[in-house]
Amino acid sequence: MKKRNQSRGSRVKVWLAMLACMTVLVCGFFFAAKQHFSSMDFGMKNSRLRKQIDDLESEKRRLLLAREVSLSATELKKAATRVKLTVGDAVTPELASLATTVKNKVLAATPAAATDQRSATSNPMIQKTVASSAVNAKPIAASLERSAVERPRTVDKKIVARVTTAAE
Amino acid sequence: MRKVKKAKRKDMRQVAFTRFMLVVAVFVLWIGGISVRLVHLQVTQHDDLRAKAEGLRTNVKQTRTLRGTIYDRNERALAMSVPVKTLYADTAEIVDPEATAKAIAKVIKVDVPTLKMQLTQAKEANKRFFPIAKKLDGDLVEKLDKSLDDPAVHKADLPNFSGLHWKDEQRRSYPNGSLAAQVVGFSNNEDDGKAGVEMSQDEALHGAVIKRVQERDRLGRVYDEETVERDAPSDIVLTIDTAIQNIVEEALATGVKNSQAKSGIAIALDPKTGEVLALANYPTFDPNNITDQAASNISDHAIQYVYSPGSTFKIVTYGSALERGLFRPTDMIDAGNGSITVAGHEFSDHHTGMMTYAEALAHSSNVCAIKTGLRVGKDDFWSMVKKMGFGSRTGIELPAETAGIVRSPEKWNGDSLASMSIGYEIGVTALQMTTAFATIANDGIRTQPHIIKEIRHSDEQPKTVTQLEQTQVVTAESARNLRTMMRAVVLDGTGKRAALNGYSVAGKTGTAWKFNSASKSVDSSKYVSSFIGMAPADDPKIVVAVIMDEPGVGARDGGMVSAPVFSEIAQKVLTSWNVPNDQPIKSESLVAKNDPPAPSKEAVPGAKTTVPSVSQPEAKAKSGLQKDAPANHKTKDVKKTTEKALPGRDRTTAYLLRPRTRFET
Repeated sequence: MKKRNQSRGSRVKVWLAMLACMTVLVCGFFFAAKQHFSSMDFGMKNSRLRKQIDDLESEKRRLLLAREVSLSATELKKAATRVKLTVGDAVTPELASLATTVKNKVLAATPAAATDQRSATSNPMIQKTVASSAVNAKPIAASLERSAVERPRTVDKKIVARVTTAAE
Repeated sequence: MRKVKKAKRKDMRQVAFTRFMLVVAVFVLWIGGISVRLVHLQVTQHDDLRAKAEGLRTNVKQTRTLRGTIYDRNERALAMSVPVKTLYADTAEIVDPEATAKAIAKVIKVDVPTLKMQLTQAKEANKRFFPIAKKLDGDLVEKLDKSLDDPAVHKADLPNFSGLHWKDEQRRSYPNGSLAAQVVGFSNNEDDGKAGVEMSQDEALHGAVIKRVQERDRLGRVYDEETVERDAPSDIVLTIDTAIQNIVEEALATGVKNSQAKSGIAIALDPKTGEVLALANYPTFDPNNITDQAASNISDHAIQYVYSPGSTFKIVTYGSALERGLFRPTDMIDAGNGSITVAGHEFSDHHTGMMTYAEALAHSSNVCAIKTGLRVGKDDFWSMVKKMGFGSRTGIELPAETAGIVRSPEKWNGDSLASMSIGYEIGVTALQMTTAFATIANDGIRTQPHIIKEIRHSDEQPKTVTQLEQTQVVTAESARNLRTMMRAVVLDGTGKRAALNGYSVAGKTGTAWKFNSASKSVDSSKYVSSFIGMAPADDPKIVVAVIMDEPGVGARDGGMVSAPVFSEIAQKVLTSWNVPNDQPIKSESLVAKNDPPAPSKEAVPGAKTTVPSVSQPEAKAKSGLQKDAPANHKTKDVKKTTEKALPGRDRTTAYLLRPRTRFET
């Protein structure tokens, strides 16, 4: 009787051990599967982020080009003509641009020039100059803001900030 | 009975054992078969199956990194690449070409029936890559993606439309348009440099191929990606200054238009470092749009065009004489009656009598220059020509530079030394001449001209590429004396229009007849007019050369056509650099403006008289030339020259002509 009780107890222990092992095994499988799918998920997120970086790099490149185009001598001359500054007044295009900036500040300071200033804001220099080129026709900041808002995918704000800093 | 029972039990065991063994055998065979199959699949067919499996889940994308950027010395981009995308159709995936064509036509202006026909034809030909819209930029790509979004289609990549895909490409852009176009050059659609720095530095600029191995799930979503990338391309920083380049190009364009010249070249060089600050050609081209451009506009004449330098070459003659100590600038020389005969060839001009060497150079007396050249002698003259760098490439980092045409003394004629003393029988490039003047400006030290400041690698320290090669060609004293003589050219000689306000100038004018390859003779109606100078004269900060090809109106000599352009360039550059004045500033500028030159019939025979009614004495006074020359003298001489054809000479001898008569200076 005692022997039978002992063998039953040991059998239960064996079963329990087996159950524990199986539980561990099943949990292991589940854990591995979760890890696998999680890895897949991270991979996909990673891929999306990588694509986002590529897109932002492309955007940055386009904006840099737009900046270079808008700072070119031809565009500066056009801008100078627009604000009625004769290019002959300045020795170099850089000075011409400087003179344009100064003149704009002076214009902005006078109330009479408010209307002109408003019209200039509605048609800012960069917008027009960039439109004449084969690149994105939008100001640097506006472009980044717009792309961040309009794009269906979410844009990492840190990356945007980094790109903005680099572009500046 | 017991025995029977025992036997029966034994039989049952035997049967059970046999059955058990059969089952085991079946299992063994089954497992063995599976094992054999597995071995067969995993060992023998391993590679094929692996490739098949990878093909199902992996996708290899090959793109090219963006081509390197070309910057000017102030980090302003002169050429850069931007990523763009090309929309293409995989016609095997397209079911309805008409619907596809209509969807695309909503955003891009294309003719629907034409596109439909093209798609149908491509589908019939089973084309897997049929480009529809090439090199679109970001905005248009976004618009197309939105427009082509088909909810019925489930694709991991945009556009979400069956059979349409994007291909990543790049487009080369030149933000400054035609500025420094010949220097920067351009690259073609295949990302290969075809001219200028784009061509000479193609290896450094060329974008590496990026191989991306993407693993995708059944929905096409990328879950793993491995990128294999070669060395990233390098960026090139040029010595060109965009601001100076702009000044030079504007002045040159105005000068060419005013003088109605065929073309013009202008170079600005830093004599101390040999850095080319600006190099301009006119007419020029826009590298953003190279279709329909004349080939002559694309080539860089400053290093590829060979011309007879004329009187600007006299600095070599006088420089070699000064180096040998044959004279001092204040010594006297006799121009005689204005003519000299060497080896049966008479050279003549309008300067007569005694004058100082400085005056001889200032008024560009040919007779005096020839006499000086003859005193120097063949060997020393030849040595100076070689030391100044004529007859060999300057080594500038631009493609297709020519060495010019210089014959060795063994091939010279009896009058070759005389001819070369005044800049004939020799072919030079504008850059060679500018470098020679820069040598004088740099106290006799010749610094190799260069246009690349550094090649910048992404992951390394900036790498300076140009190892400066410096040679003492003439002594500092000889160079200073020559500069003093050249100052007289601007103060009281042929180059008065090169004068600056607030700065001293040393320079030399040059006017040479062009060789007509058709008639194999010099053409007295076609000139190359030049002025090469430096400022401030005592410590030159800049050397500027202006060469006009075939000026067509007014007085067409270098002093009238090119000197004002020099003046405009040098004045603006020195002012913007805040170089301290070494001369008093005149309140009312007496500096010559770059106006259309007045006609000077006697100075330039055969000139078109499009600008009317300027009397000969006035014209003489304006040009400051030929004060004593009879009005019809030169015309007669020129006629004689033009009639003298030189048969049997090939193109090489175009620049080696012996002058037959008096030359304009």
